[in-house]
Amino acid sequence: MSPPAPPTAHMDSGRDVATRPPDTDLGRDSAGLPELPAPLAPRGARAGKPYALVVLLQLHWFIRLRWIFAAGTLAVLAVERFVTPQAERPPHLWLAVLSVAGINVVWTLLSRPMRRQLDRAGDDHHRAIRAGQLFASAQIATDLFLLTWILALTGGVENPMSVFYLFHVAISGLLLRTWQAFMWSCWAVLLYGGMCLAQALGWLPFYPFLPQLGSVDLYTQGQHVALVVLVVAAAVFGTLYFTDRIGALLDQREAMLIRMNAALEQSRQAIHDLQRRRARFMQHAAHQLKSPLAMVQTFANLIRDGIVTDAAGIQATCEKIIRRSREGIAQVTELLALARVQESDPRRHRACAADVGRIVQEICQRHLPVAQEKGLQMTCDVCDGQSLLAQVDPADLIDCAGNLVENAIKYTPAGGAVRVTVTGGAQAGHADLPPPPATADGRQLADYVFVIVADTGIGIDLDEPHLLRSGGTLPGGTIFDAFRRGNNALALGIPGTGLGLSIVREVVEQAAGYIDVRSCRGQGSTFTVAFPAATAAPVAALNTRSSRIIVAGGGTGPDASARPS
Amino acid sequence: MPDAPYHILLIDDDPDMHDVVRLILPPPSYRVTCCATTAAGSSVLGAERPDALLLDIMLATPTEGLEFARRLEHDPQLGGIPIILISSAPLENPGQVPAGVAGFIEKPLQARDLREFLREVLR
Repeated sequence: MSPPAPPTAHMDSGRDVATRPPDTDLGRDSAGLPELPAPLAPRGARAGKPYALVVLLQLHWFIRLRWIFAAGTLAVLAVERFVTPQAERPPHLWLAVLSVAGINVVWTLLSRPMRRQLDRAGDDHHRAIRAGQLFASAQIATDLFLLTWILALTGGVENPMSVFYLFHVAISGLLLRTWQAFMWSCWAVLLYGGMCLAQALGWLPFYPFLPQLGSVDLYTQGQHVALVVLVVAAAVFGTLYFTDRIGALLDQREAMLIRMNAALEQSRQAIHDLQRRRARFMQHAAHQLKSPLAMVQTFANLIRDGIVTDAAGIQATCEKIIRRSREGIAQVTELLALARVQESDPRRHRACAADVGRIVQEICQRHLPVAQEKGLQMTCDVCDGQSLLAQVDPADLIDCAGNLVENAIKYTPAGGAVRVTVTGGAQAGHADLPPPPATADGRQLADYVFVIVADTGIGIDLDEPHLLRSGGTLPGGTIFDAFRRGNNALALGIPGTGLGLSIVREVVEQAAGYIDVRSCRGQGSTFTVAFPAATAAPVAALNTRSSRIIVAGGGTGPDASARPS
Repeated sequence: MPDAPYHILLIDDDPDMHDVVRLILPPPSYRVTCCATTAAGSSVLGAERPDALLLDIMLATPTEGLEFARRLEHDPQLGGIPIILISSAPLENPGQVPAGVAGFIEKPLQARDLREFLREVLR
């Protein structure tokens, strides 16, 4: 990005002035992020620096045009004097034109500190803009007066140069606030009308537009003067109306561009964050995988290098190799499960109607031997008398609920209990079910099916309260983050990949459900996951990997076909 | 061989590593004390100064081992114990290891590497 050019450069190359600096500033503003202007804010009230710069750059342009005007008029007058010496001009005319040049020197001198002030303005946009608009107003007011003076000396109502009023009105309509532009339009009409009237009534002396041709004395004919003033006034206010509308449109566009730019910057930031998280995840996953692999090789080295030689030692080392290999394979399996869930289309859940009660029961049955072996009491309650169909891909539900049950068994010491409950939100006697979050699109408790896995295990360390939040949006880690494991689990040396709850969260989030965790160290944990109940007739589940999942077929039977379409 | 065995302290949260190091550094030349946490390691260090410290970098936090080594470096009593870092990840900033660190071994652990390192350190 180029630094703002010094003021002198603006005087030299007009095109650079008009385009480059506003772009520069748009970029700088949006890089700061994200000061969004209110949409459709009144012009001038929305004080963006780019706008202020445009104002001032236009003033530079204004000053340059004034130089051209003064030089051109003086040149024409000089040529006229040389070619037609008999034509007489009032001496005041020279004074008026020189006044234009003189006052332009003042504007030029003023514009430089103004520009510096704008460059320094920083957050003080409003003041800088107000100053810029005041500067523009002063120039327009003075110009209108000087224009009227010059017209009065060069034919008044007979001089067609009155179109220059429109030029000033157009600029004020584009740059200034509506009321300011309206004020200067009135000022223009007042000056012009007053001048014409004064000359018609003889209060002001009249000088012909082209003294070479003599005057036709139109300025004395009241009807003509009235008509010309009326037409000029109509043109002035018409121009004001159109330019003001165009200015408002341009402002809206500018505001829209700034908003879009900010939105773009935000999404760029989001992509960057995602990439960083992915990279960190990869790094972590690789490290986690390397640990068991490295240990496998370390053990193998012991045998190869002859450090372990006796048969019993070799046997024990081989057992360890197998155990660590299994650990690595478990990690790969979970990583693959997580990747599968993450890359799948979240919309698949809506097309599913999984029989949660049945699936969870099957999961419990599968884990029962492990629980019994460990000396745990395991129960699975599926509430009857209510449909327990939920909008979740059955394969994902197996991953999700399976991980919760597995965790409960893993983190509960012998003699403890694991209690799994499946219930609908409408069921009586479940007043303690966690309510849906505010983001649940107005769904009620009754619109969900709940799987509650409660254990009497080690619980989640209270020293890690940040781990307890279940919302995926909070900064800082949660237990649902990949590879995150509680300190007490680590201290107790309970093996785990730290990926299980990541899978749970991913499935629940994708299925538009929610999670609630209640835990106390040493007193067990209760994980509640809620899936939106499938209210419609169950559709044959799509993307179902497991053939064991049978979708209840009630709705597709005779009832459905008998229903009038 | 010295009269008394070299006392080696190992701090690593993986119990398998304890077994491996004990196998690689057998008595009577070595006497290995194993700890799973730096807290346990500190109490061992407070009781008896080992001849060398084998330190896993990634403990409760990914850099706890390095921080522990840095603390030892500034400890007037315990500074100067040769430290050999062990990690399954490559050393990220080799220029910033604490002064007491005499070596770095990346897992998988090779018996030859460990013994050579120790021979140099204990000389």
